[in-house]
Amino acid sequence: MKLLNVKEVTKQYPKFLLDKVSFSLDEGYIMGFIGSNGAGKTTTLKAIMNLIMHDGSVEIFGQNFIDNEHEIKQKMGFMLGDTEFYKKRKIKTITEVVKRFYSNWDEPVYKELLNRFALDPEKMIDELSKGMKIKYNLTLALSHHAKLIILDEPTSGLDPVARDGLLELFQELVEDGLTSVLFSTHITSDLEKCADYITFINEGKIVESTSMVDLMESYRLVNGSAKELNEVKRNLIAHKTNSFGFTGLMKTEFVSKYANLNSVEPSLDDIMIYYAKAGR
Amino acid sequence: MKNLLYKELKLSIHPFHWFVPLVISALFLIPNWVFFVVLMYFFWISVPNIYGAYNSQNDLTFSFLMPVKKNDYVKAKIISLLLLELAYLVIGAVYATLNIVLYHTSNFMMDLNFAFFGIGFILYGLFNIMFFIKYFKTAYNYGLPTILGNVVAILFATGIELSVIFIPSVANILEGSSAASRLWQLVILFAGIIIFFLLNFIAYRVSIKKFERLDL
Repeated sequence: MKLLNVKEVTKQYPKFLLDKVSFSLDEGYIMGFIGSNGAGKTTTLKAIMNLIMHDGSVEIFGQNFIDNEHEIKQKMGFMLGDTEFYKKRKIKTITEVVKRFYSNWDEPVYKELLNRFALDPEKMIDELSKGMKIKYNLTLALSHHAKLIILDEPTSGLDPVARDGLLELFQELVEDGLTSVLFSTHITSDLEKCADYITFINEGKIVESTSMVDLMESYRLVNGSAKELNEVKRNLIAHKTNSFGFTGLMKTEFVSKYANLNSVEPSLDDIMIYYAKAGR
Repeated sequence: MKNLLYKELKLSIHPFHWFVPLVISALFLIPNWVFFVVLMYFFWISVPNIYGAYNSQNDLTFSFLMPVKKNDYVKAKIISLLLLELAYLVIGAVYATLNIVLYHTSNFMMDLNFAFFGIGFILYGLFNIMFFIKYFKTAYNYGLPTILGNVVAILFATGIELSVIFIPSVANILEGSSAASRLWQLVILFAGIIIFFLLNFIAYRVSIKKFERLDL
């Protein structure tokens, strides 16, 4: 079942267009949402949550989000980047307020998660490390049995150990086959560790939304001499020249046309970088 | 909605703002003063502080990450200010009674009586309608809305005070001690309460229309 189905979501700003963004996420998977800074990741996530007016539609749990916002949010967890709320207030005070909004709040689960993540309810939000803040947010989400958890840049600013721990936690969350996680990031190594699907956005447009394996299969990083560049240029997404010739990104389907070129599997970073270069 | 109101009272509005009317209302004991000023401390101290805190605490985003309806958000914001205003008026009434009991004299500016508090309700109603309609155009900019609310409320209070001084027939109704005048003052109190709720209701309806179209 599709937990999240985003259809042609469009938002026009004076200097930026989020252009017919469409993708979907099935239950039980982790989807990474990647793109460079300013590509439209946060705008898309805000549109999904109906925080900004937009065209197009968003279906969550098979229901139209705008018509059933209240009901759907009961089963969702959402965390926005670096935005912090009431940071001089204690965890227990925030929880006391938040839990009232959820009809299926599960106090024993909440207590258990506080213990597990070593979160002290007497501590102020400000006293938590970034990793602990994310864990507190996840605790709130899981305590009302959220089935779809959306996080904007949860791993940025975390040290490698905390990042790895968080990614393992994401994997644990989806193990039941019913919960899904969508998180945006520009740290692509995070995705190589845990994402099942990747949605790649560039300049407000979705470039790819597919499984990790398919995405890596569909691109090749090719290099050749300066002479060969003219011949292959039209099939390259973008390229960089150097003293030996050029390196460029190409769809795998075109690679067989050019027997002389060396090709290797690109990293997610390569895909992002060459797409960003193509747009310039 | 009651969850949001709980959030306002428990998390968003600092308890200090309930303490302010308790202390500020003691100004009602100053002999011969412009007593509308006491009510105005609410939008000089409490409103800018509360709304500044909403911004610094990212209250808007915090609220809308939870299952919250846009109209409930507006409603909770209006009701919480309304409760504070009621605190100013009710605590003010206690001090005003003390003033009357202590001094037994009439005030050079408008006297403290039922009509004063009826006009106080209208004063807050006017402030609220100007403030909320302008505020919910952005849901973060509270400076200009506060100034607009102040201008209208101060002009209104000044108009009343000047009328009491310069127009004997108005003074007779608002300050007279005859039975007829006292009845008028009671009528003005009840009319003031009705106008207060009416103005807040209009503020709510218009604010929602503006807020619905807003990107958060």
